[in-house]
Parts: sequence; C-alpha cells; structure tokens
Amino acid sequence: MFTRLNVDENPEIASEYSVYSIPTFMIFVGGKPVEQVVGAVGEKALERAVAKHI
Amino acid sequence: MGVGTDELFDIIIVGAGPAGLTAGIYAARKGLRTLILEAKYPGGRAAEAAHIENYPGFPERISGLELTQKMLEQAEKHGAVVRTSEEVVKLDLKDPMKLVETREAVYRTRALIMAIGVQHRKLRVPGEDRLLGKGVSYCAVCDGPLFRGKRVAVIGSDKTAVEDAMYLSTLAGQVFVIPHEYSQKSVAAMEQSLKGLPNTELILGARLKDVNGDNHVKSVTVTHQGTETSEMSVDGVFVSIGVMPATELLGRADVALDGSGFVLVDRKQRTNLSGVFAAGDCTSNAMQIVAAAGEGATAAISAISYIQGLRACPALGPYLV
Repeated sequence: MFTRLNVDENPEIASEYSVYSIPTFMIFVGGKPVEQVVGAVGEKALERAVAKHI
Repeated sequence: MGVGTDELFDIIIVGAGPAGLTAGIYAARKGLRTLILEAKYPGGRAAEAAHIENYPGFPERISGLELTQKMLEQAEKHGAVVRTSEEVVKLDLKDPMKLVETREAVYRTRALIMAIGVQHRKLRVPGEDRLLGKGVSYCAVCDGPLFRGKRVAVIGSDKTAVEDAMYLSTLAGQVFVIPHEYSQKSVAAMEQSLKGLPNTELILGARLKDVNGDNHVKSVTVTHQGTETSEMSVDGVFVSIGVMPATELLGRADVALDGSGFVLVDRKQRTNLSGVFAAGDCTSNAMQIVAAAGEGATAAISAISYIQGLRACPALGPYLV
C-alpha cells in the first residue's frame, strides 16, 4: 500500500520518523520502518528500494 | 536495465525550470515534437521560492511552486512531453541529428535547448554530504517546516541567506546565522536586516568548521576569529552560499563555456554548436524567473527557425523524418 503524508499538517509524525527533508520516501514492513530514501531520486531508485523488501 | 533507443523529437529541452518550460510552450505550440527532460522534478530553483512578487501578471504575488506548476500545465496543454526524474548522462552533438542519452533511453533530436539551471554551492566541510537530508538542507522553503520549534543554523552572507534566516525565524525556535564570507557591506546589511528578530542571532567572527551527528544533525563546530573553536547544538543546518553551474556534461560535448562554467550564448541564445541553444541560469543571466522565461522563449524561436532552415536544405534530407 502506498500512502502520502503532508508533513506541514502532521509535524509530530515527521518528527517521530526523523524526517528532515522533503521529499522523503519511507518503506514499512510489518508496521516498522525498514528504509528511508531522502530527496528526489527518481522513480527507478524508488523501485529498486521497494524491490529489496518484496 | 536496458536502454531504449531512437525516439525522435524535433526539439529536446533539458531542464524543466522556467526557461525550459517556456521554451517547451513555444516549441509545442508551433506543432513541433517537443520533449522536456528533467533530472529531478519540475520547477527548478524557482519552485523553491516561497513568494514571487516580481513576475509580471501576478500583482498579489504567487508561490514559486504554483507559478512553475502553471508553466508545466501550459507546456503539456500545448503537447510538450515532459519526463521527470530522467537525467541526461551523455550528449552527442556533432551531427545535425543529435543524440541525448539518459539512463532510460537514447533520444534523437534536431535541436537541443539546454536549460539546466544551476546547483547550490556546497560548503565542503566534514559532515555536509553525509548528513544531507538528515538535517543539512539547501532549501529553507522546502525543508524549513520540518524544523518547527527547533534550533537551526543558516550559513551564508548574502541576501538569500538573510531571507532564509528571516523565513526560518517564523518557524524555528532559535536561528543562528553564521556568515560564510566577511565584507563590511555584507555584515552591515545582515545586522540591519536581522536586528529585531527575537529568536535570531548573528554570530559574527565565526566560521563553520564541521557538521556533527550520527543519523542526523546534532551540532555544528565553529571557529571564532580563526582560532578558538566551540560546538553549538542545532537540529538543522541551512546552507545558503550561492549557486554554481553544473555544465560538465556540456563541456564534454564541446559546448563553449565561460571561465566559471556558464554556457556562452549570443543574443539569440545560440551556443557555439549548430542547433544547440541554452537559456536561463546556466547562461549566467540575471538569475530572475522572468529573464529565464524570456530566454527560453528566445531559444525556442531560434530553434524553430533553425529547424525550418534544415527543412529547406535538401542535403540534409536523411536527417528529416
């Protein structure tokens, strides 16, 4: 499942997950964060990050 | 990953900031097959501006993001193909049919407009690269809201650094401004602009030495008057020390650059290579959105004229599909 969070409206959640830059892409497995990709890295890099955890 | 080949365009524009998007509007509106390639996301540096008050037609001011989104919408409406997150890695500009290679594909084009903008200048201090995105930022408007109530340092001495500090002072709990260069004029301007901001402190005589932290920024080390050092606890470091061109790719393709690496162009935005044009900040223009847009329009008009000239030349038949 993919979801998007507006950090301006949810600063506590951004802080909880140590998000210091926009965009940040996080992957959760079993409810736990397993990877964080920071910056506009492009679709291919995001695909590779997701593929590691499937 | 396989690299697809041979998609043909009349004009390829590299960069989707105001110059590239405006060029795209002009080229696509003329009915030319137009591709805009953007390594990151549309808007360029203009999208990072919180408020734009000097772009004609928007007397009530507009955000950089909104303005550039409108430009993108306009380019696409006229038929320009915009591909984001697709970085150009190689150019072959010798022949009338030019090759533009990305990690995903190799494209062919008759004319090329480079509108690749500039990149943020780096401090080159320990910790800066390692903690990028983990507290180190080059965009106060983008990342500032993530530092609400926190302690941040702004590194810089010019007008942009002052603007960043003023913007961050509305969000952060404490803002420390550490000058990057010291001139009488810049120090006086900073003192004047920052005085009266209750949560902002100008640390005169200091220079940034290190950015510290394991998983995210915890502190910065500064030297005072070149000798004594001290550590300041901060959560974020905003680097605002200007911009520089990123034109190595063009240099390797024999596009003429000036001594600082900016693309050399004439008044029609032509480079030294036939069929290759450049527009916007990469040509060291006025570094203003309206100037970049104007140059993008001029570059597109010149490119259209160049393509019409190709079509009138029978010897170039093999290049015209």
